[in-house]
Amino acid sequence: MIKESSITTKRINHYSLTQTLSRDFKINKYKYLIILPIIVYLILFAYKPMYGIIIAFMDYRPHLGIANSKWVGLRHFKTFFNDVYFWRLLRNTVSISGLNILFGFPAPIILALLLNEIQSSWFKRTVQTITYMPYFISLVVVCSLVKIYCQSNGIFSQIAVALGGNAQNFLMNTKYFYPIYVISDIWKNVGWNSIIYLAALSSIDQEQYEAAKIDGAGRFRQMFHITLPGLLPTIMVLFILRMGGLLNVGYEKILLLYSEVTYEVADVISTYVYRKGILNAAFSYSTAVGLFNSVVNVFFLVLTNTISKKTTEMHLF
Amino acid sequence: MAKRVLSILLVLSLFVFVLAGCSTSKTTTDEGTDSTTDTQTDTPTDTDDEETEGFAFTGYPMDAKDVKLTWWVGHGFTLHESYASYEESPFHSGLSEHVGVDIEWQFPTAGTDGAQAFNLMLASDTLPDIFYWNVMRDAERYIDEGVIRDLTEYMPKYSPAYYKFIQSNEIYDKSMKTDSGKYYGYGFFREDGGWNDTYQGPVVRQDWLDELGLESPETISDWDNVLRAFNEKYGAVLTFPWYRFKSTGISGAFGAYGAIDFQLYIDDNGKVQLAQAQEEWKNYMAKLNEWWKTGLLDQDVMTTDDDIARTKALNGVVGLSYTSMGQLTNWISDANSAGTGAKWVGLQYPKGDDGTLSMVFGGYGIGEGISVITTSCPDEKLEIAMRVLDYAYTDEGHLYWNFGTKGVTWDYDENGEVAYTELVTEDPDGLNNAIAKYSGSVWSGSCIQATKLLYLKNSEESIKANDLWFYPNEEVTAKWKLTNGITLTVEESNELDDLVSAISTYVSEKAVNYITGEESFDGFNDYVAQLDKMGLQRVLEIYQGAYDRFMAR
Repeated sequence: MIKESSITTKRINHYSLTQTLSRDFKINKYKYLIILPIIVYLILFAYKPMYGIIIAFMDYRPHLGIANSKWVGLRHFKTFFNDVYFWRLLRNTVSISGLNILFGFPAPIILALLLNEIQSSWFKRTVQTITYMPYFISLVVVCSLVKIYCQSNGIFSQIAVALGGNAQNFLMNTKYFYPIYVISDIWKNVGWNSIIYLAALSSIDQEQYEAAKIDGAGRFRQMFHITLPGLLPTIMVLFILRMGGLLNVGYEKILLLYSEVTYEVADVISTYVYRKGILNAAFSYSTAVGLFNSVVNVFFLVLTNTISKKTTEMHLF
Repeated sequence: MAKRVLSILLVLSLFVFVLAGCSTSKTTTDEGTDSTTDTQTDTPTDTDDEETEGFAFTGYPMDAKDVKLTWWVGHGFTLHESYASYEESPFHSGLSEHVGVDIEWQFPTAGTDGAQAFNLMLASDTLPDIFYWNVMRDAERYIDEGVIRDLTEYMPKYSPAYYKFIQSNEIYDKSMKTDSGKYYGYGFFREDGGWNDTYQGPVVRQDWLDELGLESPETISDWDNVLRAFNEKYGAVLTFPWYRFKSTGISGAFGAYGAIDFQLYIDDNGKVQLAQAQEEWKNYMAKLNEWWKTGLLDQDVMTTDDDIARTKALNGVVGLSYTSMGQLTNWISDANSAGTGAKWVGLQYPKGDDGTLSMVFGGYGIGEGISVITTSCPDEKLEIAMRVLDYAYTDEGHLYWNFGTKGVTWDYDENGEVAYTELVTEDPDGLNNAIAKYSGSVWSGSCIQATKLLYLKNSEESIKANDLWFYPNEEVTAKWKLTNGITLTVEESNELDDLVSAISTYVSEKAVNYITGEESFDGFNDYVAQLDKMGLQRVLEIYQGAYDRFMAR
């Protein structure tokens, strides 16, 4: 029996690649059929559009198309890197994004862990609903709320005065821009982002908890030795993905919150490109900037993945 | 077995979804072209030749019902949100009736970005016959690239009304041609020049002025007094929607030409200058700084938008402000419905103590949008297309574009003035929406916007305010402006792209720092030197060249 099977493997190895493939296809034809739509989708919507990246090296004119537009080489990249504000933009983008990950990433995990400890299911559901409600409020509305609260006669200012501080408009102080941005972001997204962790929590084997209890483990021990390790794969995957978006700071929120006074700390790559775009529909330029962003993002994605692979053995690829 | 069949069915259904996804995405990206292809193939030479061979213009409606024109509109007179298609829209279907040509309208899908839609339209294989978009700065380039048609030789013959109209004013004529003197499109003009271009200015609470026995402030010193009095008596400060004030504000009183935003202007010697590099601008910022320091200027002003300013006006924490006609109407109605007794009125732009008033926010009354005929429109249809576009500038067409069909949406009242019928005044969606349904000129269009339309649309008090902002200052509302009509070459606009965004960021940042006192005015010379280092002179040179070419047209 053992002998026979080793012979067949040998025989397979004699086949050429196409033969192997066609044989494999025959055996697994329904599996191939199932994956086909996904492959078609990826080719059409993920790989084919990548061709458009070449306009970053052109002076793209929509009517002339890619075929007839003029090549300009690295001109747009040079313009971007030589810009007086390049380093400031990069610094601000990384700061905002980094702080957002540093504080915004653990927040939903902590919330999920806290929710997990609540016994009353009625209370748990209520808290969950309340915390993910802000996610459904439009960004424009959230930002006007922030603006109103941060005014010199707004609620934060009044609290500051009550505590012996000065009345001031917090959005006009460069020191407070990052806290305002990060805290409002956490407030808006924490409940929604915790849902995935709650789902992961429900898949942890309840028997482990019982066993731990019998061994005399308290609540904190259970959390550190069962819940957290159970969540770790989800956490790492989401963290790696999040690091892959390090330079993606959306311009909408910043545009709504910043003013000339806070340009120094708040002006990021996307808002700068946005202001530039108003002057002229700069397709090629924004593609070049986008390409730069993607390259940096991929670098961080791979870096995080490698570190994670070495330390926790969790990885995406 | 049954299980197997089921799984195969599932896989097949997945397939269908993916394929359906492909095909819809195709139709959306190609939107606007499919239909053009139809018309292109529908009207090949044989039918159309007969058409135009026999076509002789005898007035509107033309006898050309079987000619189909496609017309893409990017902004201004797009479909009103209460209609699903142009067939339902009274303005668009009505225009076809009035000119006697079958027009197929194309608009960007609601909610999409107009500029993006425009570029998709350009990138597609077939262009519509006519499109309306902001192409004035690029016109020469589009003619060279074979996108739009040069209409110079046909203009007087096929569009007599339009031709006559633009000849009536030198600036109109110059704006509507390229540097090399080619006519190519039909622009947007405001009747009475720039009345509606000056749509914002200072406003004041008349009831407070009366209570304190103060005159309407006329000079900057008067503003000082009024601000101080309002502050002492009511705790009020000077505040305004920041983005409205940012462009120029009350710079005229200081002999300056701009506020926070990078602003170019033409000086008295015809030279292009940057407002923020002038000594006068420094004085303007110094005054704002003084008001800031003494607490007369709202500390929240830089984060104030229309809504916040409106709330502040309602709460009585502002007595002197700077806002638009539309916002003024809101403030008044807020005050009335809340019964605060506030009486907001428009106020003349302040002058310097020596009577200086270098400029007032405004313009020439020429919009940025323009209807052009593309190279997809065949020679046979050219005359008809040009006649259709010319209609808006005839007496009859002018009334249609602004007010709709006579006898249906409007009629003359006993004084011979245009008055809306109940169809418009009683519309369940409210007057402003109703006007927009029947008019093609409310925001912009290839037509002349009637001032009467604005009178019908706005509140009496805000019209009075606008009269005050515009008429006494008519001289200085537009002549300082670098017009929309200038054209830049490819190299020039590339070079500007590289320089301007850094300079304008620098300028705005410094401006607010001067106001808040973060930056001392002692360093003003260094600031100007830094502007030069960033390439300001080259920017001015490029714009000067473009302006000179414009003036030489």
